[in-house]
Amino acid sequence: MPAFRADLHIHSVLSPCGDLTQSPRKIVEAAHKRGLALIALTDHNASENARPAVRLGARKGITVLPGMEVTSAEEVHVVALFGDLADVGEMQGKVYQRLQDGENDPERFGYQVIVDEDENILGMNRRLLLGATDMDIQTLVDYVHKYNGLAIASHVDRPAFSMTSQLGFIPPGVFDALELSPYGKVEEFAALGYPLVRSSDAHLPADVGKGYTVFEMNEPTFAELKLALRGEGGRGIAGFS
Amino acid sequence: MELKKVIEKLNLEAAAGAGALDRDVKSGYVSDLLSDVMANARAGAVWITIQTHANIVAVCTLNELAAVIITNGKEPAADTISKAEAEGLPILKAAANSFDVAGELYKLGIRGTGG
Repeated sequence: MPAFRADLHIHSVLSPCGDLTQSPRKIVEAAHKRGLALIALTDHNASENARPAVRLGARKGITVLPGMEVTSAEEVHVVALFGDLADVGEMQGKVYQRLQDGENDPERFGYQVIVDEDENILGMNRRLLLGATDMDIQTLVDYVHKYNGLAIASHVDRPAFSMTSQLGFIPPGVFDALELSPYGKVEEFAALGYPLVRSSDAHLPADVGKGYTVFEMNEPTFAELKLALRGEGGRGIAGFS
Repeated sequence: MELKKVIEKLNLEAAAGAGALDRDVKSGYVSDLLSDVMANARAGAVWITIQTHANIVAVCTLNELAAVIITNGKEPAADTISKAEAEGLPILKAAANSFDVAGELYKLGIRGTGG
């Protein structure tokens, strides 16, 4: 079965902490250069830059999954991945409905820039994207699944905004996978019974693909990714770097 | 101090563990990061938090805490209550915020865990 490299956690300039050079165009170019077949755009609680990313990826032969990194009420970050723009749009509506009120202060937190395929600035997202939703972790994961998505616990090895830091440990049967950051140690999480992936959590082009997972599956698509995470039909995770 | 007295003085509501309200409260701890509670809260402490996830029950059991007080009028999740009942862990609800609850406990003579 063929193998594909995937980096399932990448921020763009829409995230307040995203580098101002981190346009969908630069992300797709970096992914292409580093041999990634499948990537996901996962800005904090927002997805307005997903459309150009998906289109640019298609032109380069890279599958770009539209997604978000959603903040739960416990301030746990969850990577939510979807198969198409309609599903991410449904989740986006739910997130905006449940996101705490407030307006972003770009001078303090960073600019939240919405761009097109050619890096033209279309506007700013004025919401407080660094804030939390009032969805507890189970409610959040249930919504991701309702909209046909995958819910991956972000950077479980890290001491902030992770299941481990906020909720002490990871109970079984909640997520579709756990994500390790580029330097996270596998041993601590291998026994939990979850598939483990590694992603970059890149905020600038140089970091795209800094962490990636190798999936054995028929083609680099969302449907195949779902099956690979479940280890169905000979598909699976071959390793990561 | 007996937990029952704390409940009475602070006007708390027991959401679970009604059979274990005679426990002795030895100290108090306030935190919303469960990893921090696991590392620092001592046995017999009453823990004040806004977290409502079922993992709070496991942390209380692990650290042998006397009880948990959920503040700001937040409701524990349904599986949090069922797990607490299974463990015999008192879950108490307070309408007040964590600062005020800790202040009231301090007035009753309860001090910070490990202090």
